[in-house]
Amino acid sequence: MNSSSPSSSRETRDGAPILLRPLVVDDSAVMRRMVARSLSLSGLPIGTLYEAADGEAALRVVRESWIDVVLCDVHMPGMNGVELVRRMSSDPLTADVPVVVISSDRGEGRAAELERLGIRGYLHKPFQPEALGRLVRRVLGLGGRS
Amino acid sequence: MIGPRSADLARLSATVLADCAFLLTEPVEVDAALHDAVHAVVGFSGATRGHLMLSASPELAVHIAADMLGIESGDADAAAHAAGALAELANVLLGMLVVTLCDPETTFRFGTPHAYVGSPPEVPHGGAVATLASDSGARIQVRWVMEGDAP
Repeated sequence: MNSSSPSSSRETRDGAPILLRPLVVDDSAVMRRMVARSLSLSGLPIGTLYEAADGEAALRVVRESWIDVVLCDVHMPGMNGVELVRRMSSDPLTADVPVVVISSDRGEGRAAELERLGIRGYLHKPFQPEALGRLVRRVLGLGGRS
Repeated sequence: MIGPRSADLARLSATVLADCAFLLTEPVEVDAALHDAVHAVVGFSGATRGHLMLSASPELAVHIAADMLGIESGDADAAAHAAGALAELANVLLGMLVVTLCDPETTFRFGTPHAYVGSPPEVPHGGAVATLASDSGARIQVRWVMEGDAP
């Protein structure tokens, strides 16, 4: 369950970095691995990385586990990314979990629709690991390497 | 002769291959479908409908998967994900092409990419075709067909 935003200091009392727990949602196993690799290459402190292949599975994860940020695709079979964002934003348990959309969909209408639903960032595929790292840092209010 | 839409296909495909798979390619003038290849097909609908088919030799598909995943081509995972990697490339390329060739303000719905191995799946003729060759001579072909395209 997620009831508040991650700590803004992002360090434990002994100065160790807090490890992020991202959830990557994409029906493509290849893209899930690419996102995971990009997160690692970006230098972000990644702890447990969760994965889901559609919106339904993602909803279960965000309701049952602490997730710092959801990185999700738009076009997926079953529950797509738009519906996932809509369901998350309407549920008090998940409404505060930041969502970043990573999609090949470059249509202006799609981005506007998702922004109205409360997503915190939108990254087009293909992307560079540095761009993903910068966006996640901005969304989570993290300083450090950009 | 590469026509305007085929030139767009070639240019954007080369960009996606370079960005996603670190694969440098040049356009070549081959319109015939690639056989004994891996094919990925993804459809779209919105103001207009159509689909994109991406085809590559099995060896090149494995190479692309390895580069996308950051592993060696000999790694079993590269072969296991070859079709999936090509499908994801088709998805990314479709996103770039739709906003380039259609109205960027229109919202499109993308289908789920499907991959096939062997002979190319049945797709309507016509549309635009671009074939690219890598440094090693391996070929990858993009076919873009919109509703109303005729041979």
